Amino acid sequence: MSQVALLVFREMLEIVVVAALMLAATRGVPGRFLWAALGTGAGLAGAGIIALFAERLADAMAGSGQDIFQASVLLATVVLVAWTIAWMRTHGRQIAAQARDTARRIAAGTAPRYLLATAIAVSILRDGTELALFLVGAGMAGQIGTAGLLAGFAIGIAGGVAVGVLLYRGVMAASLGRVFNAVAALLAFLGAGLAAQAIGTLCNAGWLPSGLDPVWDTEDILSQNGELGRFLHTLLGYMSQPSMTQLVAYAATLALVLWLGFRRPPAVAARR
Amino acid sequence: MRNVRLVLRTFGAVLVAAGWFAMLANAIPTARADEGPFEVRITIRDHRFEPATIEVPANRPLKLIVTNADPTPEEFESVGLKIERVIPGGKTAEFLVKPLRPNRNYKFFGEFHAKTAQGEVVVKADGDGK
Repeated sequence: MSQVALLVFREMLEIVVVAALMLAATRGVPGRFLWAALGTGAGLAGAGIIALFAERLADAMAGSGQDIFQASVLLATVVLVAWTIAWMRTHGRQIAAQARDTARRIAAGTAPRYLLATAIAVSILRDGTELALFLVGAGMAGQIGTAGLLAGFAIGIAGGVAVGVLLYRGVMAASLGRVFNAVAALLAFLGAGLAAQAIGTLCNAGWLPSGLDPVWDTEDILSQNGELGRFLHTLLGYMSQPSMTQLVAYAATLALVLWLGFRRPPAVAARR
Repeated sequence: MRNVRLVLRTFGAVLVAAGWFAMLANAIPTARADEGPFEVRITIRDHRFEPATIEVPANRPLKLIVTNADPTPEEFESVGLKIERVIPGGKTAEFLVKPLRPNRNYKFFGEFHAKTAQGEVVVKADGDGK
């Protein structure tokens, strides 16, 4: 049971970090919790469908299809994060200024809630598929009793949600008023880490040269697979054995998203 | 104006990084052309890897052929080798790995049964593999 709980928690981590930071970034956007819920539902449905057809997809998945799926989902998340940051930087002030004018707020704030919903949905699609495959497999093999499976699942989900709520509350409380800056910085690190992970997969598939690999090796000091290493990997993109190409991707994404988040908003958006 | 300068600066940084990377990539020994990938077969049985320790030559591409002999799926994952893929029960997956530098260890594990499914790729000193 504890093994199931731990696995569920680990797969949940990335989803909740993405969800918590995106929710924090879209503060002031009306209906964001509803859209987050819609994204969650869509992601769960998608992951469930993929897992159900997993046996039939098995041959395709034995090749590099799975890698390409993973890399595409990761890169899509990076784009959604960057897009949200760019949008909020331009329109965030507008939303704040028109806080009392609900109709105009809704008109101004529709784009990021779609981005939010999509980001959550694709995150769940990626990690949820793995989780669903594990659960279907474990259930079919009768490896763990149904009760134990359900209990472990519930504990893992609860733990993941708790981390997400803490992160969300923490980010919101830590910097009232300047919350966007903190969220933008965290999202930049998250995006950089996701980009580096995707690039690592593409290098392996032979689509990109990996350069010097690894540039450093801290796996024995702080394992990327340990609990702390995994958390740092998810939140900040910590890598214990990164390749040069991954580091370049990390730095480029970090620079781009930070720039999007901290650039001066275009004059038009700031004035009106 | 300010934005344009910032964009240029970002692109400059990326270009410098790319150049640096290209230089380093050049310094890495490449695989000998006459040798195909070094094949390694790994079987997952009772949520353990057989064999759990694999010795491979340095500077040669590898092909890991992983067969999951268990009825349950397993996620074959390696941080150092940048592999993360679910292998359904009874299926086989192949992974191509770039030439590795000598005298290094790369751990791999089965995420779905991480307590027992642990293994390691040991890259021998250069020259041993010939």
